[in-house]
Amino acid sequence: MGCRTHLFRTFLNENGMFADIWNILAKDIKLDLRSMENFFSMLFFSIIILLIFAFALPAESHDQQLLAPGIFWVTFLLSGMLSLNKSFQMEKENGCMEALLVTPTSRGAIFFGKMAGNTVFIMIVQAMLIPLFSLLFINSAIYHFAELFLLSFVSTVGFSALGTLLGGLTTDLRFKDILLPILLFPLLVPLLLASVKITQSILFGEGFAAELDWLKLLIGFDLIFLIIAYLTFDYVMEI
Amino acid sequence: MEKDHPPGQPAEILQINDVSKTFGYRRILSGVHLKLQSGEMTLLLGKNGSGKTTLMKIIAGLIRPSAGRILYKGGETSQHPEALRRAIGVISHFAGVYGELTASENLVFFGKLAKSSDLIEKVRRSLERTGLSQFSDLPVKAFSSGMSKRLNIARLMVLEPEILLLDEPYTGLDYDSIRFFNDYLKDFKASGGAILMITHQIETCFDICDKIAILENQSLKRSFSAVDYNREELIQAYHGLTR
Repeated sequence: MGCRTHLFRTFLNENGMFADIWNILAKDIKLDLRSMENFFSMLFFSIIILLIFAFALPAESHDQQLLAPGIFWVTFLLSGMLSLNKSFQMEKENGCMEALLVTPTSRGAIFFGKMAGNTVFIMIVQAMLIPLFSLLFINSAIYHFAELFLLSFVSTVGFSALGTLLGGLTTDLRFKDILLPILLFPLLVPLLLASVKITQSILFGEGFAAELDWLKLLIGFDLIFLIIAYLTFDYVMEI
Repeated sequence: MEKDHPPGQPAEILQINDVSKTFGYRRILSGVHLKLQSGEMTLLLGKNGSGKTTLMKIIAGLIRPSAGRILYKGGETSQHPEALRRAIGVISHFAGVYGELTASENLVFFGKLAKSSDLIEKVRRSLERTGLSQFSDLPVKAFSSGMSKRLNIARLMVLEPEILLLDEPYTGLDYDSIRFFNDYLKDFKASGGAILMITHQIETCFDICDKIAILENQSLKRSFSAVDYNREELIQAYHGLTR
């Protein structure tokens, strides 16, 4: 019990890992609030994708209702990619990643800090997209805002964990802009399938309960890749 | 002019033992042995591509060695790399500061990660000493390269490391800044710090260096005291080495 308490206090005190994670997250948020580049590019890109699908699939067709959950999550994946690219690009500029890695901060704290930043940016954009999605595709979606937002959070955690790991891996490579999606999207298939299924269930008024197995898969996916990413980030970040 | 030998026996602060590094099939370093002692500055010389920057990155913990050990105050660093990173300050080719943040914000960020005490006071003093006080609230993207380098020096003052790893630190500095930086290095040595520097501007730092180590063909070929050579001999030998 004494050992667990000590670890808990170590994690939470001002000199612990949590403080480092918070510092890195706060720095990323501050950087993005100054330039707004990440936020606006994600937001407008997402809006454009939704509009393209809205025009491509006529509103009165049954296909649009059926495909809408998939459209929502394709938009999520593509706009989330922008956040991942930008996240490490800001560190590569001026050699900031080197400066960050030379600090006494653990690699794990750097991973969680960057991952938290990606999660925050994606969730802010998702919060704005749900009403637009409701306007363009399924009008009743707005009444399920809380459930969709919660589902988005669970999916974003897994997306950010894997994406931050692979973003760190590809950041120094020549074709990083195309390599990251090539590596990331196949691994995200379980997350995508589960998210679409649960979204369908939510939009048909059945909530999470009807697709508990898919929810368990999604949470399991998050946990597995959180642990793998945390353990391997140290090796990934060798310059 | 001959240099005076510093009195007393300096303590060994860092030991690089038989370090090798291979990238794929390409061997960059082979069996490098080097010791850094407190109060001394070691100049690491070698041709382009001899592995100087790679060695420095290994010491800084940015790259793992393929073989060998690094001992910090006698302790193995592979088990507790944070201990060595806490003791190290680095100046490299890049500024290593965030352009959208102000000078003070950059120093506070890195100071928090290094768990510096009295951080705000240290930031204020370091900006004052480096002549950047009036620019403390300016985003660093507006700085010149010389000012960014000075901000790097200010960061070292905040972090208070025991070991400095300097890779071409004089790049972008004007004459006054070089003089200021050399004074800082002298004070750093006097307080017991150890310095390892890579530079092609050997004339700029000859007066403050204590040891010379030469990397050739992936290993440390020679290591000798700078006291044994005068300035002109050493500069000639260096230019002969890099021809």
